Amino acid sequence: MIIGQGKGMAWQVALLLALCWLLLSLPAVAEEKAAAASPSVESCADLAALFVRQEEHTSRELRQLKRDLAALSQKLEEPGTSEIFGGIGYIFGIFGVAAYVASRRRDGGRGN
Amino acid sequence: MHISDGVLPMSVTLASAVVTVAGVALSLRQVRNEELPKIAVVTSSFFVASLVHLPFGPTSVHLILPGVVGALLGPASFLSIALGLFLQSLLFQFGGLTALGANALMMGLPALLCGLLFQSLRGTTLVRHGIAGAVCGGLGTLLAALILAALLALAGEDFFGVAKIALLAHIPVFFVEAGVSAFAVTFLFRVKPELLAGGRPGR
Repeated sequence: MIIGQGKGMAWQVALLLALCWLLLSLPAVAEEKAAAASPSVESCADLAALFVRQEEHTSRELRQLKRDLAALSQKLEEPGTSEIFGGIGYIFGIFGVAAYVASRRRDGGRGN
Repeated sequence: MHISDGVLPMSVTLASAVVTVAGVALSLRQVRNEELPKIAVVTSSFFVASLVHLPFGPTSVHLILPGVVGALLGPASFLSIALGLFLQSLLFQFGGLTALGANALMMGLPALLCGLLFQSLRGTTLVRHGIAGAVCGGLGTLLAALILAALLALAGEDFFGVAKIALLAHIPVFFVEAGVSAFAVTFLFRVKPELLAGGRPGR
């Protein structure tokens, strides 16, 4: 029991230490990453140029997306094969029923 | 060349719907039983023809085929066109259900007239059939554009302005329709001339 308790304590201490180390090291990692991502940022002018570049890039991608969206919506409006064949099927079906009714009427007349 | 929902005022919509119902009823009385398969085939051709789009400038126009329908079906062509337009408005969202009457008038009346004209123009030779088909094909589209302008004029638009735009936009269609109709009619004349009797017993 004592041994078990000691083991539990040791785990907790190790976990605490690891947490402390992680917390201490996090800001440093973030700073390093930021420095790596924007190596050329030194002045306000550089920053502005970077913004402009990113803005151009984003708007280009947005334009492309809008074009794709318009093409897609136009494509969705066009009737597909299922509608075309469905319509032809309706027409043949309607006239088939009409022919059936007509033939039955004629046969009935002949029978009487 | 379809009129959409809500373009025409209520009075014109109702009046054209009434005329269309009357036309379909009259057309139904003309149908003979043995013609039903022919009407079915022609109706489905008409139904699909409007999907054949021709790019024309910024817009695109499509085949209508009232001339061929009239030439092949005669008085039954009105029924055929009304049914084709009904299914087009349901499945393709061409035109609208409330404008169905106006659309049926716009394409059905030229078909009826073309049917009569074709019967009087067609002689017994292949060349005369071709000419009659071409005339009916072109004239059917022309009349449809004029009826469109007349219907929109009833809705308060300027008749000559609309007519001019509708005719200009369909100039390529007149020629394509004339060509397609002449081809279809001459082909049928060679392989199955009794189809061209236009609703009357042909043999």
